Amino acid sequence: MSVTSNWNPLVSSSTRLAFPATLFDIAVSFCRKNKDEMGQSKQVQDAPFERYVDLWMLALILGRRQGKYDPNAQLKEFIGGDIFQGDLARISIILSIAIAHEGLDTQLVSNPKLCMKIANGYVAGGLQDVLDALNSRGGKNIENLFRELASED
Amino acid sequence: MLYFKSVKIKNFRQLRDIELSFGVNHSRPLTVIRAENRTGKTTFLTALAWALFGNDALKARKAYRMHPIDWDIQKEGSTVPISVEIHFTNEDEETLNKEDYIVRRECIETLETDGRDSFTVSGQDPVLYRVTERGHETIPNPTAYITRRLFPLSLKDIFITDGDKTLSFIDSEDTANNRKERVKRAVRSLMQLEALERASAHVKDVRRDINRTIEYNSSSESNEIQILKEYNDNEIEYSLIPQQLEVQEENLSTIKDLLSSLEDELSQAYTKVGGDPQEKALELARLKQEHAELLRDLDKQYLEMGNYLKNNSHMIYAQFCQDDFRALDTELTSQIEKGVIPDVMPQIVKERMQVGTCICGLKLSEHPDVLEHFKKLADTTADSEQTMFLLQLKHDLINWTQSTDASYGFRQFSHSAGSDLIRIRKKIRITEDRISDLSAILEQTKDVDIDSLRMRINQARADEREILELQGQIKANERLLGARLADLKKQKDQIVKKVGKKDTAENRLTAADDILRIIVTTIEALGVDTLNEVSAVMNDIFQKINVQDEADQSVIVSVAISQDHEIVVNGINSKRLVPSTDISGAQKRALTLAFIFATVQVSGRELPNIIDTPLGTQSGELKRLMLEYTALNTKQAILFLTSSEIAGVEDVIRKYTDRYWTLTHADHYPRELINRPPVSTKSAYICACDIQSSCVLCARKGGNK
Repeated sequence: MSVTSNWNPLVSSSTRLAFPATLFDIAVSFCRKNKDEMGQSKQVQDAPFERYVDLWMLALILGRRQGKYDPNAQLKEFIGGDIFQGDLARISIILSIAIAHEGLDTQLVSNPKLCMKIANGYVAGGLQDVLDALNSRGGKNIENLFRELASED
Repeated sequence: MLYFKSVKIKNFRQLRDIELSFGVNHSRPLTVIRAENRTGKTTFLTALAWALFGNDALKARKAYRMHPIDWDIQKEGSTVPISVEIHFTNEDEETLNKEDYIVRRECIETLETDGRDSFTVSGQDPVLYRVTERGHETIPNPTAYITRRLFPLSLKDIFITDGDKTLSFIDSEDTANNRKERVKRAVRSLMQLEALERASAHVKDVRRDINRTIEYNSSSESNEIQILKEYNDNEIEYSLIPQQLEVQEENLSTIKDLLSSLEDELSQAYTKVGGDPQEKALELARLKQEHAELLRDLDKQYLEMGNYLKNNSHMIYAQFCQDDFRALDTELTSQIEKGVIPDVMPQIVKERMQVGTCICGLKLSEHPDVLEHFKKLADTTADSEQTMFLLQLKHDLINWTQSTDASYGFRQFSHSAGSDLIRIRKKIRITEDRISDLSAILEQTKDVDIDSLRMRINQARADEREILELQGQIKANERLLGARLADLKKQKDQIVKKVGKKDTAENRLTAADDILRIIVTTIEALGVDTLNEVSAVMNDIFQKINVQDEADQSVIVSVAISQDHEIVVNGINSKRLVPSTDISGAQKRALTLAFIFATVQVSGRELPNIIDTPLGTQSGELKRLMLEYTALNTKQAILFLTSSEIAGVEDVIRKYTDRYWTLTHADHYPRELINRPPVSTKSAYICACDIQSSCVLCARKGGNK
C-alpha cells in the first residue's frame, strides 16, 4: 500500500513558491530557464539550475540546515505548488521540513498552505548562502557550489 | 673605285629612249635627276640593276614585262628589242690606273597576238667590253667578271636603293622577324661570304665524295658496301655516345644538385621542428581534437552536476538534514506503535465509487444511503492518503539513510565530480601547453610548403632514376655498338686494305673536316665583327644627320643593331624607343639612311650610290644634313629627287652637283605639263634642265619648283 504518484497536497495551497524580492533577479540569473541578455540559453556551468524550483529546493535545504528561517521576508512569488506534481520526493522533503519545523507535528501534512509558508521562510533564509556558494571561488559557478556544499559539515 | 659615266636605255618599259651622262667630278659628286612621282624613277633604277645583274635584279622575271606597255604591234612589229648599256670606269685606288668598261645587256621580247598580252623572252646574257686605245675587248664570262670583280650582286640593294623602301628596315608593317631578316641580309651581304659559303659547300661535297670513295672504291661487292655503310653508321652512332653520356651526366648532376638543395631545405625544416614537420602537424591536429573532446567532457561533467541538482535534492537534504531525518523517523515509528497513524481503508473505496457498484454488486445509484456511506469512507480515505504518505515517508527515510553513504550520496557524488573536473582540467592544461609548444615550433616552418617540397623531391628522385636508367641503356648500347664496331672494323680494314686506299682516304677526310670547321668558324666570326662595325658606324652617321628637338620625348641618345639584327633606338634615361612608333618620320628616314650609309661604308667598296627619293618629305634642316653627308661621303651619287625634296636645299644641291637632268613623263600632259610631249603618252623622256630651270619639254603648270 502506498500513496499514488499523483498525490500532491501542495497543489491546493494558495501559497506559491517565492524568493526574497531583493534577491529574485540575481537568483534567477543562475537558472537556465532564464535566458541571457542576448536571448541565448546559458551554460550549466554558469547557471547550474535548470528551473527556478531547483534553486528554490536547494535554498530550502540550506536554510533548514543552517537554521536560517525568515518568515517575514518580502517575497516575490514565481510559481504554484502544482510544479511538484508527480515529484513525490520533493513533496516529501518540503513536508518533512515543515513537520520538523513544527515540532514533528505530523498533522501538518494536512495543512499544505502552512507547509509552503514554512518552506518559503527557509528559502528566504537559505538563498543568500546558495548565492554565496555559487560565487565563493574562482572556478565555474556549478563547481564552486558543489565544492562549497561538499565542504559543509 | 667604280663610277658610272653614262647610260643608254632602249624600250625598257616607259624608258623608250633615254641617254644621259653622269657627273664624275669627285669634289662635286652628285648627279641630280629631277623627277616627279610616276615618271619612271624606279624603272630607271631597275634598268641599271638589270644591266649589271640580269634577272637577279628583277622580281618575278617571268611576269616582269620589260617592253613598253604602249608598244604597237601593228606599227612597230611583234618583237621588241630591249637594251641597257652602261659605260663605267673602274679606277684602281692604289695605282690610279683607270679602265673603262661598257656593259650591254639586251633581250628580245616577242609579243603574242593572242590578245592576252603574253610574250616570250630571248637572249639576256650581257656583253662586257673593256675600252682600250686599241678598241673594245670583249671580256669572257662577263657575269662572273662583273659580280666578282666589279659590282658584287650582294651589294646591289645597298648601292641601288629606294629611299622609301629602305624604311622597311625599321618601319615595316611586316613582322619584327622579317625586319630583322632584312637587316641580317643587308649586313651579311657586306661580308662577301659567297666565296666562303661556296667553299663550305664544296668541302662538304668533297667530304661526301671521300666517304663514297672509301665505301664504293673499297669494294664493288654489295655485301662489302653494306659492311662499310654499317660501319660508318655505327661509327657515327658510337661517336655520339660520349656526348649523350655527357648530356645525361650533366642532367644527373643538375638533378642531384636540385635533390640535395630540396633535401637540405626539408632537413632544415626537420631540425627546426625537431622531427618530421608533417607528423608534428598531424600531432597538433590530434591534440586539438583531443582538446575539443576534453572540453566536451568538461561540459558533460558540468551537465551531470546540473542534473544532480535537478533530480537529487532529496539526497542533499538527507546529507545535510540528518537531525531532522532522525527525529522524524523516531516520531513516525512512535506514532505507528501508538496507533496514531491508523491502518486505513484502501484505494478500493474510490474505485467502487467510480464504477458505481459495491463489491457485493449493489448499484450505488439505487441506494443513496450506501452511496452516502461510501462518500464518508472516501473522506476517511483522503485522511488515509496523508497517513499513507507518512508511512511512505518513513519507508523513504530508511532508503535515503542508507543511500547517503552510497556512491550517489551528495558528498560522494560531489567528491567524485570534483575529482573528475580536476582530472579533466589537468589534461586540458597539458594538452593546451603541448598545442602551444607545437604551434610555436610549426610557426617556424609555416613558410615551407612541406607537401610541395616532398613532391618535388619525389619528382627529382624519379627523374634521377630515369636518367640512371637511360645512362644504363646508353652504356649497354655502347657495349653492343663497340663490339659490333670492332667486328665491323676488322672487316672494313680488310676491305680497305684490299684496295689500299685506307690511309689516303682517311687523311683526306680528316683534312676536309678541319677545313670545314675553319670555314664555319670564320663565317661566324665575320658575322659578329661586321654587325658590330655596321652598328657603330650607323650610330656615328645618325648622330651627324639627325635633327631633334630636345623638348621632344623621343630624344634619341644612340642607335645600334642588336646581335639578333634588330635596329635598336635608345632614348634618354636608357629608355628603349620603338622605331616604328616612337620616333618621327624624319628620324626614321635619317635612321634608315644612316643604316644604308653605314653598310656602304663598312663594305669598303666605292661604288656609285644610286638613290631614289632619298630625302622624302622631311624638313629643310634634315634634308640639308643628309644631302651634305651624302655629298661628302661618296665619290659618286646619282639622286632622283622630286621638286618637293629639292625645295629648301637648292644651295646644297648646287654646291655639290656636277650634272643635272630632268625626267618627265608624257602621261602628265595635259594635267601637269604645259606643252604636248614629243613622245607617245606612255613614255618618259629626258632633258638637261637643272633643278630650277625648265624648257618646252618639262615645263609644268605652276612652275617646276
